[in-house]
Amino acid sequence: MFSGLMMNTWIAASVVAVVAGMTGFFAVLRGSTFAAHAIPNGAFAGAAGAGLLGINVLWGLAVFAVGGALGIGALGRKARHDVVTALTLVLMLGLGALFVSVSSQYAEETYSLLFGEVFGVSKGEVLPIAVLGAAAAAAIGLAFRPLMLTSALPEVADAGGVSTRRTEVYFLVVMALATSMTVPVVGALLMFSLMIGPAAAARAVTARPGVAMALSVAIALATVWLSIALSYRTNWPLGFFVGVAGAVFYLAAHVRGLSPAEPPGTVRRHRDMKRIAAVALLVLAAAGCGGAGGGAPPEPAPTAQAGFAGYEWSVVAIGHDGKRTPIPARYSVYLQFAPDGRFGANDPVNYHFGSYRRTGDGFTIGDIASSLVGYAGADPVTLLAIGAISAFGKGAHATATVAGDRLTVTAGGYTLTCRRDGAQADFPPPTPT
Amino acid sequence: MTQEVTRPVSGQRATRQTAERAELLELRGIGVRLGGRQVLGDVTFAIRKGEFAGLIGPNGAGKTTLLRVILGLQEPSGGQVLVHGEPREKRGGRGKGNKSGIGYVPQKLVIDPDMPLRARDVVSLGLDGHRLGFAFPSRQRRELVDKALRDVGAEKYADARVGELSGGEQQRVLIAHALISRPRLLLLDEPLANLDLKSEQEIVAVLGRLVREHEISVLLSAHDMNPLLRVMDRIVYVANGKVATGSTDEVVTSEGLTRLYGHHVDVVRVRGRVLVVAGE
Amino acid sequence: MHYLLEPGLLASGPVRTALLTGAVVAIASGVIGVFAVTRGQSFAGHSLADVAAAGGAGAFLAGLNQFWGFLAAGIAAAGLMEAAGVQRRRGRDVATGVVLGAALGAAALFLYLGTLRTATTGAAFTVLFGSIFVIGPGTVPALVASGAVAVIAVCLLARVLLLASLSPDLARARGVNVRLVGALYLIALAISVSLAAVAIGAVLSTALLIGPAATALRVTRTPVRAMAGAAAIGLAATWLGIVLAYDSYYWPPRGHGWPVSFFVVALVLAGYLLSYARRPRRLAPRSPHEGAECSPA
Repeated sequence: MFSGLMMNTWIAASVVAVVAGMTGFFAVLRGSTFAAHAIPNGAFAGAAGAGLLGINVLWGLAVFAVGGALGIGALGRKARHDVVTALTLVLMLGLGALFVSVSSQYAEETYSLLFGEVFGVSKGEVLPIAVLGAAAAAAIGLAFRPLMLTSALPEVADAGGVSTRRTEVYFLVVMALATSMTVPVVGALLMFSLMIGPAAAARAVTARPGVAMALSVAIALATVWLSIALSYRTNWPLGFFVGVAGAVFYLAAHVRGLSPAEPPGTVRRHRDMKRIAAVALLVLAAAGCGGAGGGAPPEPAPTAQAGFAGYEWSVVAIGHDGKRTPIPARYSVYLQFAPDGRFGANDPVNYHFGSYRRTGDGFTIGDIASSLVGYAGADPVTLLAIGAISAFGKGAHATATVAGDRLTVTAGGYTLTCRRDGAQADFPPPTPT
Repeated sequence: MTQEVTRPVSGQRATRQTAERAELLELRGIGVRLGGRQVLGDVTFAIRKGEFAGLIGPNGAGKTTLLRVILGLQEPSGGQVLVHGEPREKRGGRGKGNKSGIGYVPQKLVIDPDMPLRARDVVSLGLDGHRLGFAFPSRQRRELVDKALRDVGAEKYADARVGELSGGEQQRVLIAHALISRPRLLLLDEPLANLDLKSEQEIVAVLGRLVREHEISVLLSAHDMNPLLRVMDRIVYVANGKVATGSTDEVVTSEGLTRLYGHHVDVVRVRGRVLVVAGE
Repeated sequence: MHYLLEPGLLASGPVRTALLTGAVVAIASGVIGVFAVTRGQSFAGHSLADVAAAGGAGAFLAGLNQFWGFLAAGIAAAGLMEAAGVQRRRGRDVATGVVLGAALGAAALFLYLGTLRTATTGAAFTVLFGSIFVIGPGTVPALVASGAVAVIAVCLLARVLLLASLSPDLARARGVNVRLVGALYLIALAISVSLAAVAIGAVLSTALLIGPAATALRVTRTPVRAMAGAAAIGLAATWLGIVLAYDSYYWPPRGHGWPVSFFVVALVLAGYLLSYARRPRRLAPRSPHEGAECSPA
């Protein structure tokens, strides 16, 4: 669980949790829950757009998130409840859907952008996330007192020369940066849970600001660690655990009955919440136990191999000579099987193009041609990938097994573990004229 | 030291009623428990036909609660509500709209400007807004609506969105809404609250005219009796969970209110206005 | 016009199905949306949509048609909301938002598990962003029937709903069972949300619910005109969206086409902005329970 690839996730997620906890504390205090909904939507569109344009997703996230934050800041409080803003938010999601559907990355991209991805953090992204995180944390730390003042006593702040408006914009931009970091890990739709859930839970337990913020960070870390561990164990999506954990912590905190000034009639509500929290905890426990039964990540039952045709498959690991090496995403090693029999394969240096024919247990390669770029380097992963792809020569036979969104291909002494990318369109083409 | 200048308040009808005229509305020994507390106890009073009664008392005294009991929205812990001498059916009669003959103008409606209802639509709902389906437009309906609007002086803005009317204008529309089903008793919950002085006077004038011309009774709640002094025939004063009823002169006295409140209260009359002041 | 109506548009079976179901969805959402906005229940609609997402994903996992999942989850959530009394937005954004996060998390899980089971990957997209072009002909009668039921129910309840929105006490004093009426309306809302989820996806469905209704309310004054207007605007946006999506197959990138839901949402927003050209902005401040506050996820 703590191997190289996962280590990136642990580090990034921890940074994300700390920032989310700090930002969320203020978001709850200032009642900026609307912004916490709105900014991730814009971020989703930005990330999808970046994917479409082929630039780094973090850029798209940051630009759209910050732009959205500035836009919300400019609109002012009242306008946030307007129909225009509500519809614009939905439009952001719609734009994201458009970008995702129009680019070649389709289903996987939608899913991981919206719900998060345990393996979503490549080594190249850990550093920017850590830097962004440090910057956001520093920004909040430096502005702690003005933020507190403008949240609790805005008029006093204004009178004292601390501009509420500027602080609001400042805070929204920080939230946008936090969003840009969080979305790749947790997904746009679940970001609200991570940011607001722990903070709201912390606030329900204590009213002292320093303690509340620390508790909010602690709960966020607990949420993220628990979710990563359970997600790794069960292969279930990270977003599921984050969403459920957020709700459970929140309900549990409110059930303690320490929230200030509850209106009358809350006794029954607390009892209902206790029941809901209990059920949710049971579900989580069952999930953990059920999934974890067996220790190692369970192998989903193999299904017919016909499922590999018509898709593109990213190679995530290559086994050779008894050793299994993970292949990070930036190496861009993939296989393509078009429904009409065309075959494509990419290694870090060359692209190979030919035809394939399905067989009972896999496929056979027909003709194949490739670009002729030489490689003189010594990077072991590159060399391994080149070797593996070269196994798909003319006439080569490979076995292929599909299990869910995982494909295992064995050819020429290499075993490639692949993850599905791309999908069919969701509507039929018109009848050709 | 208080100064009492006793001057008869004009507009008072003869209180000697003939014995055979049954009371329009009678409450006998009504008690109400809310949240474990006895909010009202042993409330007894009656409203006669064509009477203008004011339900007066400080905020929180239970005026709204009393009105809700009369309407069937609140179960009393004891006592009876009689309409025309008959015990009122439970819950105002399910689906029968206005069988009990009581029209209701509720308190402090916040109407969203988006509400797709013109003033005349609101009044039209007063006829049969509790029924399923759509109302079929008919000339008869339109005439009834127009008449109701005229009766309250709201014809000028009949086609305006009700959410965009001023407080006083909305109040008139709601009165027309209650009026259109020809009730015998009109119940209004704090109709004068949040109105400017001019609107206040206008509403009181409208109600007074309705009582005189249409012979309906009015029971309205207020925390300040002064705007009503000229038109009120009877006052029902609520305080400390108890009620005192009669003419204003009979009820609103220092001794009477001190008995009611349970602590010393002075009543000061200055130039036709009444002031109730808690003494020390 | 030639550029708008590409050849083969009306000859295509899926397009005809889409136009029919799109019409049902638009009319139901428009009519029911008018009441959602005036009763300040837009947030309830959004909450139902998020729970519906989990339901649709669950149906996918169970191998059933997504619509049944949307519907079952939506009605169950409506019942729960009624029981817990959270019908109106009362500053409970945080609580509901957090619980909705759990619903979306559940949707994520169901989608993942379903993808494992069936080895198809399109489900995430269709549950969240709609599947109007791939509605099986067998589902169409169910969609039309539920839409009809919801619309008829709301039309029957229209006057009572308006009266109850004006003042629940007033309605109760007239003998109306306000609680029952509210519950019935929530169920109609759940049905309408499920229909919209099928057409343009669970997370985008609120656009069809509040957009046309809010536009119609800006330009009409009576309930009947508002309902008719909302239905008409929704219908126009949906049909135009379908046509444009079909046309977009020929737009870059060729051979792929843009999603219907994007067009519908964009058109709904455009329609709302256009309504500002007709009627100048109100000077009076909006009242606290402005029904249009909501945001997906």
